[in-house]
Amino acid sequence: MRHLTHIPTVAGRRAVSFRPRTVVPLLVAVFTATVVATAPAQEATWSGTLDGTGSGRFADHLEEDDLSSSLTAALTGRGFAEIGTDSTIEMVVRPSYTWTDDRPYLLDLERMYTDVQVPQIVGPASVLRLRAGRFRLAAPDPGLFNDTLDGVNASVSAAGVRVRAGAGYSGLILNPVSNIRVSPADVADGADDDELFGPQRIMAFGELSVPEVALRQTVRLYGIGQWDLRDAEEGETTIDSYYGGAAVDGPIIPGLFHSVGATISYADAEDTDSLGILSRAQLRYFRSDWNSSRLALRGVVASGLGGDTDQFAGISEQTVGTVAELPRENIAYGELSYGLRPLAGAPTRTLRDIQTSLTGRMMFRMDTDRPVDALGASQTSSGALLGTEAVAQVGWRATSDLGVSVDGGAFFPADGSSGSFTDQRATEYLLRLQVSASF
Amino acid sequence: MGVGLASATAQSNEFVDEVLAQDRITYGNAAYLLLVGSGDLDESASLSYARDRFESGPAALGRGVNESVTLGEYSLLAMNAFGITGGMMYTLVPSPRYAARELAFRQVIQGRAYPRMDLSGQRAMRLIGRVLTLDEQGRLR
Repeated sequence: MRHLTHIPTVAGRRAVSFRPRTVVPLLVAVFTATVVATAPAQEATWSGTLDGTGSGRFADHLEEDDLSSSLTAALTGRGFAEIGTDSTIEMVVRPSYTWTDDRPYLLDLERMYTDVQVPQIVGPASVLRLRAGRFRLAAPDPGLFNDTLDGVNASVSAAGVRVRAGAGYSGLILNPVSNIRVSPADVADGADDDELFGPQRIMAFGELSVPEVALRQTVRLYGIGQWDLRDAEEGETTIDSYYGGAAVDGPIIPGLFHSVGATISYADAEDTDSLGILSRAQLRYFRSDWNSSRLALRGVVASGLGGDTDQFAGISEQTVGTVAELPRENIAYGELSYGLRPLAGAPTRTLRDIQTSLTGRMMFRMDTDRPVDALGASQTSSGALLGTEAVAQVGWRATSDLGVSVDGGAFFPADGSSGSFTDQRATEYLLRLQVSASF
Repeated sequence: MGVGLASATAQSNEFVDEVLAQDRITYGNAAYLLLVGSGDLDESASLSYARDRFESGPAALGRGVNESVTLGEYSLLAMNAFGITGGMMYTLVPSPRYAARELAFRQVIQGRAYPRMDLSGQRAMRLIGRVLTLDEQGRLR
């Protein structure tokens, strides 16, 4: 509950022009509690989770092995009530406590939202779904953001069409867990322990989906905007950005599905504008009779649209590569992955649910005049290849309330005339163990 | 629901109609439905006998034959009737709460899974239908 009782500080860096503070989440909580408490049929339950992660990163260019671990304990409370004959309201609250190497503890309010569902809102087959509060809000292109925000998401589904709109604010999310980083100042704030909250930005979007418009293909059109609510300090730049995009997905033949889409970005800074594109194409093939096999081929491009200063303007900080973790800008990559359940025919569920996968990935620079923003980047090479990566994963859902996952891989950076790195960047290895239990 | 009804063909139409009409399924009907569905009870048995079978075992609810059972309690009865193994918490505390969690994990319970929520006869039929489907596919163990 810390975010409800503290005024966020900006460490004197910027003037703040918008202060929703505690009002919105508090109103949501009071409204929901009132409705749930007075509704005729109501239920409540709770659950808890323990999630632990340990990882090691090894490479010759690292001064010492990079070992890290974290443990998060979370409690979830959930309440539900019927309103009238068909409508429902549900409230979810999830505080958590995290131990990491970086800090002795992190007390967070991960979720606090209310869901309202009203059927037959604009017709017999229609339904309104409204979610408000703190929750994970995904943009129509999740490559832009898919993060915990304070906001609202509303959708109306009717025969043949679905309309969705949403908005979120990142200025009340604790800084260590906020991933919204648009400008260099945002990135600098992210590493500043004196900053209590994430950048004060608002994201909003609208999306129109036409499910199975023809040949079972679903078409989506969307627009997204992102605004910095702070005034720029001396020597800093605020960046607002706007996006438009489209996506098509659906089956091709039984078991084979495709998904293609592109988002154009326009970033508006004080002294410069920038155009960019994030496009992706994916094919996925499922065969349940081949030990639940899943084969996927994926390609992504994130780059500027031609000018020297052009680049794709992301909203949340995203990286490419499980091991490499390269910035997702001025980059193209292709990956092939194959997964299966090797013991799918075993007599017990515990063994049947063991999943394995292998992924190979190749990454390239789009504009070879610009060095990659990573350790060991060559400042002179015009080679496009960034490197290749191989990742293996084994996931085991031992019981319904205990899961274990191990993944590991290697990144082989490309150097020389055809590569983007110098030989200062060595082959890098990652090994990670994740354990999750619920109670 | 179709699978459940088809698999329990011996049940009388009257019994099925009575269950489907209940906004809150009774202990007797739930016990009879689950035990006949699992093949552990002859269809000619009474509802009281079905209820007594559970009362003498680890899933005893301490309830009368005409009293209603919740979603979690029905889940606990189903876990016992079909011998479904649960997770760590269910093994430690075999209660309605963790029985409902287990069946939600196995997608037997779809939609809201509040253990203490009322259970209609129609939903009870759908749940046993999914259990029987998993059983036929050999996926209950």
